[in-house]
Amino acid sequence: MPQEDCKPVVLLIDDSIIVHRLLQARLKHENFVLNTSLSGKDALEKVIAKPPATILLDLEMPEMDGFEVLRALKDNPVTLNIPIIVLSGRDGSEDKVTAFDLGANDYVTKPCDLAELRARLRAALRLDRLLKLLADRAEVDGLTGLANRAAFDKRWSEKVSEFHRYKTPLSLAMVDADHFKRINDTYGHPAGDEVLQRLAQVLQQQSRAADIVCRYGGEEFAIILPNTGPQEATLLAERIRTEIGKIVWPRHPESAVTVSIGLAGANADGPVISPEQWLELSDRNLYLAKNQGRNRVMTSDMSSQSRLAKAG
Amino acid sequence: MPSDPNNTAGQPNIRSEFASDPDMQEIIGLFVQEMPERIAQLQSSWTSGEFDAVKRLAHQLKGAGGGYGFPTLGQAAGKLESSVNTLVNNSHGTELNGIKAQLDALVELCNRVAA
Repeated sequence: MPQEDCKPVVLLIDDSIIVHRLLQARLKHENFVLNTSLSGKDALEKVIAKPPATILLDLEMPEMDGFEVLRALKDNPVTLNIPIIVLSGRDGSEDKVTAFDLGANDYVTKPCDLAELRARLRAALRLDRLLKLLADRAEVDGLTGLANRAAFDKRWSEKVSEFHRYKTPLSLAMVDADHFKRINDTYGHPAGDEVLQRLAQVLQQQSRAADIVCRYGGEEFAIILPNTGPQEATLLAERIRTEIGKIVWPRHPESAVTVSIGLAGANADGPVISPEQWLELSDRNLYLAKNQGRNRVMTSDMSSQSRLAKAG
Repeated sequence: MPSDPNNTAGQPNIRSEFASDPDMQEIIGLFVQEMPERIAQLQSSWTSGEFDAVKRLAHQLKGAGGGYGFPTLGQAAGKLESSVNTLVNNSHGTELNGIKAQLDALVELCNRVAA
């Protein structure tokens, strides 16, 4: 049911099926979906596969107890920030201190007052929403709304790892506005900002859904092109370059803005290369494009076949 | 409502405080239906000296008793849990007969629960 998909998921980890049933019945009118797990081991698998918005965690369970589950959740960057409410029959302060020190957000003793448990769950879900909002904000560039430099660094390393692991094509384009300083100096910073915003828009429009467009810094943008070899990437870059050249600027219709683009890409048989080395190569091509008169695309094809062809 | 056949002591059935709550009727039914099995587990674990299992069952009943509308059951289970805890942690000088009486008291209550 699509409506269910939008609701946040709360995962109950408790070794007692009678507790599962009780909370399922008592929380069924709440604005979340309650999933259940009978053991710590099973729960960790579920949490990593699909992180819930909040976890209700029993302490006393055979084999892996609640403290061990808590430690494992806080050790994993994927699950580290999920709010955790400990639900325990023990109300000694020693257990509470341990739970909070291990990273629990809240501690409720069983048998618990249901109105209170519901309120605590709502508070935990609020915290989860705020943390997600914060994480999203931290990855967005304020001026252009594109992914920022930090997000680029993260996504680019991920994509290069995938390239090495799955042998799928990958390309990286670095796009830089030509003579941007002149625009800023001649027409003022608001005009410069407008150029950056409009460039960001065109880059987004011309890219495909899977491409990741980032503001790398200043007037420089990066486009990660998954599943795209250097030939295809060059076509896309040329299209972007042409589209940007066509823009008529309301603040300075007399002067067009052009971009230079440096590209490095490889098909499935690319070399073992670090994300940094790959980025350097794209950047070097950008420098070459600037040096050869700007408003152009320079590409390196790192595929082994192409290198052999060149060597032969 | 016919009396529970396990209820040999002739004591009246204990009805759940939430018996008329539509959200609860189904799960109270299951709770009561599964009770004979739970009692058997409790007794056989005790007889075979598996005190950890007794403790776990008592712990679950303590946590759930009140929630299912049987607070006296939850309290009896809580007493048993804490006594077995003492027994497990320090078996010297713990009065086994006293704990057995608590277990019997819990079983007696368990036998009387009704949906």
